Amino acid sequence: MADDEDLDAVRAVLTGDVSAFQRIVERWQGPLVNLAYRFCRDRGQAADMAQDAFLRIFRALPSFRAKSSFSTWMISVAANVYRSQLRRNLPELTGLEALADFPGLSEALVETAGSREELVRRTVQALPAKYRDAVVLFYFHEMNVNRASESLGVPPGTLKARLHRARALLARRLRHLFNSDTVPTEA
Amino acid sequence: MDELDRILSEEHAIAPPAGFSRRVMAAVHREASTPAPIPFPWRYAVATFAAMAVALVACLFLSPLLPTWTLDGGAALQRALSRIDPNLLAVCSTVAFAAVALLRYSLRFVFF
Repeated sequence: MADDEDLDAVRAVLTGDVSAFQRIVERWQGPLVNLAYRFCRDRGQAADMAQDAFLRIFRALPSFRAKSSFSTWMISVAANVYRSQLRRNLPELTGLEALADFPGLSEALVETAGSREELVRRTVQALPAKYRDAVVLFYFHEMNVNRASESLGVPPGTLKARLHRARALLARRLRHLFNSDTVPTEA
Repeated sequence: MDELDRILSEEHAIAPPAGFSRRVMAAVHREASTPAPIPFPWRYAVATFAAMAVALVACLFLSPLLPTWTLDGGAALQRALSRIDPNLLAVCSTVAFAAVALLRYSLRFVFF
């Protein structure tokens, strides 16, 4: 139903009614800002990134072929925008990765991050890009491997392998935070 | 569901800032009002590169077959060019290049 409304809006935009794009923006601004926030963990930057993503989606509309659903295609375009923007801003995110490998720092890190949950999210952010992207999209899509793999543009098997590796890295980096029996080892 | 799944699934949703969709639409309208960029002329570029490649291969393979008088002719041409004022030669070559470019540009009105 929502996808039909999106397709109507897409058709209207492609026939020259630029204002019809507002319907897409209104419907998808929440998810796209939230996805951007999961990548950058900064509200202001997330809004800027989402605006860039909407612009890229607008430019790319003529190339939408309806092979997948519009929402999947749109999130895939947005994820690409976010990933390339993060590639440019990555160096400032790597500090936590290095710190997390030192034993005894977990309490200080939790204090810096604000909460244990926030520390976990920041550690995800500090993972190598391909593992970070897999984790972010997997949980954004409510742990749906197929939709996450479509958004990432990789086969489901590749996504599962990256999730497995990401979890192993997280387990190692967060071993001081969790008891070893609660740290996940397999997707 | 393990601890990691629980934490990463419970991400608190944030609301887009006020006026977000208005800002996006303003940017979209700006984007729509700017003319589309002129695409790179791949068709002509590929044809030109192909012609250059053919010419290069032809030179490589056919040059041993050329009669010796063409070599003499080349040397004579080089001697003649060396007697011309380099500044004049530069001006002439620039004018010739501009003429070829103008000719090429004007042909598009004839053929397209």
